[in-house]
Amino acid sequence: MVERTPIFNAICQIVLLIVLVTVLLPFVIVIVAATHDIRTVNTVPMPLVPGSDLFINLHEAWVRADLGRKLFNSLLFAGAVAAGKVLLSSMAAFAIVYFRFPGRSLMFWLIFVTLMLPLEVRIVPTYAVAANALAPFQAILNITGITWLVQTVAGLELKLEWGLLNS
Amino acid sequence: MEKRTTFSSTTIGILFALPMLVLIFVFFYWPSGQALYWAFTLEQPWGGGNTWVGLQNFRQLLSDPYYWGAISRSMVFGLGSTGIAMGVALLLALFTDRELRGHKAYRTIFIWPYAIAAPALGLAFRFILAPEAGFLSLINQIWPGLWNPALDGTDAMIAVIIAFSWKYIGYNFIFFLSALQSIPRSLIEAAAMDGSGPMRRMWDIQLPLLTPTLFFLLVINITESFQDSFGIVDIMTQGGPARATELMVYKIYFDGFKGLDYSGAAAQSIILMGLVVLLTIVQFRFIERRVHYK
Repeated sequence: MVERTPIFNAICQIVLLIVLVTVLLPFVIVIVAATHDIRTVNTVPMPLVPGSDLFINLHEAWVRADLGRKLFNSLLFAGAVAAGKVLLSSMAAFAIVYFRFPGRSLMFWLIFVTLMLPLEVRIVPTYAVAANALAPFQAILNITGITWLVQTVAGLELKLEWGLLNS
Repeated sequence: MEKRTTFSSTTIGILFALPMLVLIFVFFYWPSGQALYWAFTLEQPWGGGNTWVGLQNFRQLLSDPYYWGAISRSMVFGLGSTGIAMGVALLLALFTDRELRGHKAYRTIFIWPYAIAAPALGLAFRFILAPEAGFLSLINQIWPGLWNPALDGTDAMIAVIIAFSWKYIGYNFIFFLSALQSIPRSLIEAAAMDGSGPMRRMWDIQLPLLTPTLFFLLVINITESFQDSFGIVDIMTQGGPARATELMVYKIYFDGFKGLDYSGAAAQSIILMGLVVLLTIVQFRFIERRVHYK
């Protein structure tokens, strides 16, 4: 940095190198394991020298797991989620920081709390919501009596439905 | 949170926040409300209605010794993995920031672990840490039976903590490094001119200016250790030898989807959410006051 500290620099480099090796080790092991055939992979310990079966294994995995389509789906999903997240979060954060209105703090905590509930338990009701994304609004209209009102006044039955799982 | 220029228009502010609020209402609060409702009923797994039982699910859970075991294991896991991940990442960020030889390579490579999805990571680590066929089998040849995560609960917990920390070191590292690089160089150079060595500078200047990042990462790491650990536990140990790695989030999945006890799982998830909210409140009340914002 600004002064000469060779011993401390050496210690820093050693620590960084050790952690670098630790960080890269699983990657290297998995890549090397992908280059061996199944007999060599199961020997104890697995040889760290790369074998020659890389393309055979890749082809087999691609075909067996239909990876082309799945990678495309993942790419589409990740891209859309990233764009959506950034857009919506920046808008909401802008509103919470730069505007003064009652309920600002409540809004922040409402959004923050969504980090806390694990996905596993709300997955089944989320599936139900995805089957009919307007169900919450339908339920609100039912409870507040607007559906009954519209039905008696105009004879129309309000049934909101937007199925997200049909195609 | 107070900025100097704020707008006073209420409608436009709410309009900006509206899309996000609608989204989390439809896809988070509504399903969570239903899950909350399930926690107070006995749900039939294949549909067909449910019966209201009030607090019976909660009473049953809180008197179950397996559940208290899961809570204490989750705490141990949370503290252990947060400590390791944050400590190592802080050290790495401080050392990388000194811009020694090769620091650009370190900067890029240390982030890679976070890019690995939890199931792939669990599989890779299971392969590496397997007692007979992995690389630690060499240790087992010297001291037979020392390392066996399929038989020994502590070894299984250590394996899961290592896998989780490996991933989150990458996450924490990038936050620490960018926070360190936003500290003006003039401060550090002034301190160096006054005669403080690198370690003293790290302790007295860089660390206090990092406290907002430390606080943020503490909250996020603890929350994630309660949520994101599911993938790793499921692939590596499935709850461990005799429930040794059964964390709260894994127990929710296991009881709900394998045991078909949706009501118990819903009650457990309410308790888990309450616990995480409590921990976050504790952190905001007691630790945020010691954070030096600019």
